[in-house]
Amino acid sequence: MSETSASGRYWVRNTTIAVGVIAIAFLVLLVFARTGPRDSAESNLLGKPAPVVETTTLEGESFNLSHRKGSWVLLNFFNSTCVPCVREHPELVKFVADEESRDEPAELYTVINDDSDDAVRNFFDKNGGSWGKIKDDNGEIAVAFGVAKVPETWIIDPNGYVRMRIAGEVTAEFLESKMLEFRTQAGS
Amino acid sequence: MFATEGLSGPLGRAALLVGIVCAVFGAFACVLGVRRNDQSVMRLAPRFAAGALAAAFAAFVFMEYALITRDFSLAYVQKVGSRSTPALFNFTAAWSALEGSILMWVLILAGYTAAIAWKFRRRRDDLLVMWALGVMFIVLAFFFLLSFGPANPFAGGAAGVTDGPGPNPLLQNHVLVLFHPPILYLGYVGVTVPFAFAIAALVTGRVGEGWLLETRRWSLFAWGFLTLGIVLGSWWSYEVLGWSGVWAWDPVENASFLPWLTGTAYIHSVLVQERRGMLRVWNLSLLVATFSLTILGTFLTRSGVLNSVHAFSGSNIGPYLLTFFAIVLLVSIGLIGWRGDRLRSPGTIDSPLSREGAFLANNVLFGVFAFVVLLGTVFPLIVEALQNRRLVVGQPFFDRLSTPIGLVMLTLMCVAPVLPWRKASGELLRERLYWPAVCGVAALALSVGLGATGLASLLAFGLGGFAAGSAGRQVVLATRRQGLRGLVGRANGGMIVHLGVIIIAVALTASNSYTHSQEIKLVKGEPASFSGHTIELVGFKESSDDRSTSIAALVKIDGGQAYAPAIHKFTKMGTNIGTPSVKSSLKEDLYLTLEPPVKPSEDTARIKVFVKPLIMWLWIGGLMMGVGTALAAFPGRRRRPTDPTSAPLPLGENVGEGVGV
Repeated sequence: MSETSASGRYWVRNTTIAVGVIAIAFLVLLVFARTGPRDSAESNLLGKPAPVVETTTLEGESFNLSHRKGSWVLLNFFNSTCVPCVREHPELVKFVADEESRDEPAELYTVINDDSDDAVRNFFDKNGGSWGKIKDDNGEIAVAFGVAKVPETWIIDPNGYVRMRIAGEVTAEFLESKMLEFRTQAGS
Repeated sequence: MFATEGLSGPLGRAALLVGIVCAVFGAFACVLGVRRNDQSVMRLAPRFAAGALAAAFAAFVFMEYALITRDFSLAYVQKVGSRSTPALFNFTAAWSALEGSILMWVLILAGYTAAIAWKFRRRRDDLLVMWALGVMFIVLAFFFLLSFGPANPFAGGAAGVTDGPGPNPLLQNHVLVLFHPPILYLGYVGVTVPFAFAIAALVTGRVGEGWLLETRRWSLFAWGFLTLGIVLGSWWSYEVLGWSGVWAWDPVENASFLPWLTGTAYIHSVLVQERRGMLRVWNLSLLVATFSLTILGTFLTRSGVLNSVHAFSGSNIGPYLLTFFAIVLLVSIGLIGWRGDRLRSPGTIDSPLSREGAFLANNVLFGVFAFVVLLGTVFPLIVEALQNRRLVVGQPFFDRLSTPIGLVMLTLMCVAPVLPWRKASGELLRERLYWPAVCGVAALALSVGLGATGLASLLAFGLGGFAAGSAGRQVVLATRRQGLRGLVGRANGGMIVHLGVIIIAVALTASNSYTHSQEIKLVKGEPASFSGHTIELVGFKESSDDRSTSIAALVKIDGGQAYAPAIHKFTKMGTNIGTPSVKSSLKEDLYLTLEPPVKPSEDTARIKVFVKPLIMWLWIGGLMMGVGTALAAFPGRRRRPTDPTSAPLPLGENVGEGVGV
């Protein structure tokens, strides 16, 4: 009897130690997991060639994404009635101004999402932002990218590959830091 | 109204502060009272519990008041409030984002703490009760602090805001948002009670069966609400999200499913401990796992570690939850190790072919299932830690693994209910399993006759029939013997829950295997047919208000009533939300969604039609599980659980199978 109770005691103790070790390993994993707001959203397109985007700009000029190869391209899906879009607008203005002081600036395009041309024109007249606004009348571009909810910002590299999807508001600082990261990777 | 503008913030913060003070003092009253054996200190604990509940309730009322009066001085109201949100969804906006949902957690936990303090008010000298109450107070204090600090719903917002976007559009178009979150939280938060008693049992060293009996109903109550909450969540997903599914293995869904799995394992294995005194370490571990999984699930989905359709936007409560999770886990494991020598069971399992053997198998299955779900949920983190990339395992992983586990569970449900304690003979099994097996064969034959195909599906239907036979047999025997009283009590109520589970298993199998769908371009006046139904577009209905504009296609099914799948555009969010329209019947659902772009001027609409068999049985099965749980919580006629199996039943009737688990 005493033998079984001793082995029983060891069994409980050893199991407890094993479970404790696993628990601590799991905690370490969680501690070092990236927390905070998730900046990059999932998408099947990440690392793949961007979908075809052939459309016109608000001014009636043709726009073809594949012709933009060689530059970093940011597509910002936008609607002038969406509160977060309005809120992030000054940040985009700042980002573009910062980029324009570079040798090879990234190009930002607003993809008009389910909004009237006039409303968009008025908005940009009032709030600034001289970059291209491209039309997406049937929502085909949004569907091709799988845009869930505006605003969404997509970063496409100079080879035409999708590098990042950001769901929700962005800040200039965040975009700059991401661009720096991508450029460093590309340069190395 | 102007006089009160801006008052909710300070009042709410004050209420939370009072709550913190009550919870912390309550914890001290319990622990110090026990250490010094001082009745006068312990007597204060229930008062602090009542004070904490009053504070939490007041905070919740101030939150609602701020939302209802559109007090945009608060950041939370700026985030989820809007002048154009209808009253119902403005009310439910209180739990539509992180801070408010933590406040609801606080309120419910304060309710449980006060209920425990009241229920055991005459047993203040009982160490077990005081320690349990102390643990409740500590957990409550943590959540009060979380609510006052990093997730404060009463934090002031930017000046000059006069309107906001309102809650997430998905949370403002179905009445279920009023019921699903509170009911789920009643279950999710309720597991704190058995956990607190488990810790108290470990601390006091009274690790026998006493604490199990104290918490039996509390555990059932929490488990029942968790079950109902999950079923209602599936229903909400089905009615609102428009992809016609009920379960997506999303991290937030898994966060509620994981404690459900370990909780289900617990309410089974606890019976073995009550009866035979075995599995003590295991039961304590299951309770610790269940409670810590609620904290872990909240951490995973609320800290931004994992992406989820449910995840609220980023917040900084992650480190707090993680620290708390670590403390809970390490303290619990330490306590179990410390008490290891007292936890050895007095008996062993005599035969695997026995009630206790079946419960053990049940626990292994639920444990494996929980491990699989946990692994799938945190897999992206593991991959990221090793390879610096993100990878989501997604639905195929869960589906592939849950199908065999589910089938083995069904198999176990065929046999386990008829097994006696200690040892079953082959002869007895043959006799007891005869009719259930006939039910199984009949179900199999029926499903083949109805055209069912596929090995897994046929197995599910056949085993479902068999298991229903076993559960039904118990209920029939019990009611024949005792009349309606045969429906109450743990064993009989449990069998009703089993029947509910089986119905859900069969309905899930059928709807997953035999759904067919097609996108149809409908032209007004030209009926189309799909899967034996005629579908005709009869017109459009456009409407708009401050909140949204919507367009619905009016579609007649089989010439009857018109259904109206719609697309709502929430103007303030720039979001389009499709709203499905469902024609339900016991046999099948016709699920219609309107696909963009919609062109009323051309009198055409693209409608996606899903024909989904047996969906309604999911909700019926869920209801049966809830009813069964309630019946199980009523005292049945049974032996005192601590008596040996051979002791006679009260009221002098013979001991029979099916009575008194």
